[in-house]
Amino acid sequence: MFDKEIFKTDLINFLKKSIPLCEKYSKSLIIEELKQPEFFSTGKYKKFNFVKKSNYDFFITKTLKNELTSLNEYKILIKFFVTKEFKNYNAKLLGTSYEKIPSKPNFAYELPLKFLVEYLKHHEDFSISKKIFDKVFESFFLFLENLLEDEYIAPLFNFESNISKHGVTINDICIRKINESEFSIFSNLEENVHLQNIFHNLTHVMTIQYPSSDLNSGYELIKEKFQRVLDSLSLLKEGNPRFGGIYRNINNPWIHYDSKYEIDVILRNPLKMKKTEKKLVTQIYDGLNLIDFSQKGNKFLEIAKKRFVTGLSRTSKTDQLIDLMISLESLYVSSPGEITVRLSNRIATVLGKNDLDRENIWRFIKKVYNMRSGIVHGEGLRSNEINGKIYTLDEIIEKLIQMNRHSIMIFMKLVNHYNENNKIDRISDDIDKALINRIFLKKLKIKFN
Amino acid sequence: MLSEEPIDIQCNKNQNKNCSVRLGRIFCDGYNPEGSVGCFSHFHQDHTHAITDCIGQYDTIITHPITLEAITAMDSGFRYREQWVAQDYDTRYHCAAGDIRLLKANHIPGSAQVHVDVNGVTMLYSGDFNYPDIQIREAEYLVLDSTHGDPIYDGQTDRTSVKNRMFEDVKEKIDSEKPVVIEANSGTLQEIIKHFEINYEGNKLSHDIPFVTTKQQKKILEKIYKNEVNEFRRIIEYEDFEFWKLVRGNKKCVIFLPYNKSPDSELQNYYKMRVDRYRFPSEEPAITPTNDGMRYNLAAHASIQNIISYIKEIKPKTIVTDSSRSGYAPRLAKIIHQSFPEITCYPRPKL
Repeated sequence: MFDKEIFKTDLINFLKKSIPLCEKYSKSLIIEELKQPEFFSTGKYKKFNFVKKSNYDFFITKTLKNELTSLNEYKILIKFFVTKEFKNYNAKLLGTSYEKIPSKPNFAYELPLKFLVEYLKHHEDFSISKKIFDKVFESFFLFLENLLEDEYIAPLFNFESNISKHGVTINDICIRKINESEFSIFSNLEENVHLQNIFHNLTHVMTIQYPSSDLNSGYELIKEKFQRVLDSLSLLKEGNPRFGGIYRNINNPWIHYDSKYEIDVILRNPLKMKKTEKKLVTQIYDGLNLIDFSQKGNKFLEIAKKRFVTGLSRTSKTDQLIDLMISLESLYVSSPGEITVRLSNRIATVLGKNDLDRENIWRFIKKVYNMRSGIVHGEGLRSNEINGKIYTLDEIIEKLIQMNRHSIMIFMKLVNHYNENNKIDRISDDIDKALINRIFLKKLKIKFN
Repeated sequence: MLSEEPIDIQCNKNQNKNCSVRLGRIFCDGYNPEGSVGCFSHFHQDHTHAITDCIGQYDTIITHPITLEAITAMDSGFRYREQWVAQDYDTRYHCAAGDIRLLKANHIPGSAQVHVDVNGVTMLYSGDFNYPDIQIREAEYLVLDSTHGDPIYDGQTDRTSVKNRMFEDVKEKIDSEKPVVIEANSGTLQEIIKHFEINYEGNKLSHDIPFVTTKQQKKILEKIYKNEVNEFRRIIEYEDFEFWKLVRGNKKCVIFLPYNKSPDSELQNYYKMRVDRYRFPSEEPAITPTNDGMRYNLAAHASIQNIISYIKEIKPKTIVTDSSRSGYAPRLAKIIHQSFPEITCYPRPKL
């Protein structure tokens, strides 16, 4: 890029000339009273406090912009920002908007001013501090070396964990404790008088670093990755983890943050993840990563996974039951006709540990499929007596969730043993064979155990 | 030295762009050291860049009251100069150089054609115009602005429908909590604000949604629509701390920016709606998506078919196409000559 030490010298020269200017105009500096969140030791939101903060951002980038950009030291600095990396950075921000316009703005030229803002935020005084300068410079230079890299962050709702602020890494995604500025932005703390319940329980975030040459393509990909983490968590244990939106560059002072996919999340049963469960989540995540869900042959598994996750988030129990049954049908029955028999036979074969267990599962699924049909065909909830025992709807759903979770994990392994053509039919055939041939059942179980 | 022709485009030393349009001894949209009477057709930069020079030279400068309001909003110092004559459409101003009338041009608020009658010799400068819905007065000599009829601006549009669609697009984005940036030329920008606030007939946008524009554009808005301004919401200035706070929180708002003000880097990820400026050839629809927003054709210029119709109504014997404001002038002159062999038509100045 360019010589770090030479750049550093020129940057400090700029700082030395800028600081007296800032001091001269310091009467124009706006002091704001801002809300700052305070957390309980559990990491949950406790209250907000008002803190007074100088707004160096407006002061430098707006009030003093003309004076600062007229300095020779500034003009020397921006001469560094002409390499290919900076052109790509500018092109990323410009998008295609200015394609046919000869005079394009150069956003890299704002960077020296942003450095000054950051220095003043850390130092809070119009003097030169070598220590502060060095600290801010290192962070600035790191950004310059990775100009196209963005940090995406999503709040993890309905999630509790003993994971600290240092976080744990699941593949390339980090789960860690939320920080103050993230909480303020997610909850719109500045404007909200009463926070929604969901924020009172928000303690963690997911983050990922991702470089991209435009402002549009990153979000979709990151959304998929974050969703995969949620899917992995949902497949691990009970709970309804959700992310409400995805934010970009909240913690990056050198580039303005933005967000996408703002959706309302309701307070549900939290998923409680221990730090030590990182390995299990990573295994599931890696398993999901291995499967190409864009392939036609794997669509049935994607549908099952989506229905399962949707089912978990439903507030109506009957809706939940229907989603969970659709998920199982997607996995075990690929065509119409005798669904009850085929579904109960196959699930019993795959999930049953012994003959008695298989029989219980077989009877349970037959009965629940009948209940599902009653709901779907408008008759309402039919009898919930199974094997002579009266089940509550909650108990039935709990059992279905476990069966779904277990089945999806098994199919995640199975799909890798079959070729693309008619994958689901061939898996179903093998399960049917396993039903009547114990040796074949053993062979099948080797594939997914 | 003035040429012998009654009409001409006259450039000064080292100047070949945005030159003055001469109708007899009256100079439009530019400076001439020998002039004493000037006119400004509308307040776009390429037509008003020479105001300061003209103020120092001309005894009389005629323009429409809305254009004058906009000009003085851009630089309040101009207000105190005594040369200004604010003249309504189709009223006669008599002076030694002839009888001057401003005719509605339907380009932006206050835009005018300039019609001059010198002892029965009639001359017309079209300025930027959009045909039909324009005032017509016959003239023997016509100076045509040559951005008109250029195939790259020849797309067909229905202005009211396009403005309505723009408003619906804005509402949709605001409903999904997204800030919007609308980029337009000065004049058109004010027209859009007025449409959103007053003319749109469906459900309006709550006044809780802030509108933002630059200090100068706000001034122009308040000047040219001074009778309607009470119906507008309070407009936040782009330069203010209040706007900065909106940006800091990525709060929903509608930002109206003139093209001479490029959006800050903070706004690069906002939804962008761009009006005119780009090529809109006839084969393209009036509304086209881009990777970060939408382009809207409000067709502030006349198409080739409209020019032909315009000429038929004006009935000139001689036409000069203005090549100081568009490289398309020679081609336009040829097209006109092919359609009207009886009319003498040529571009000026010779570049």
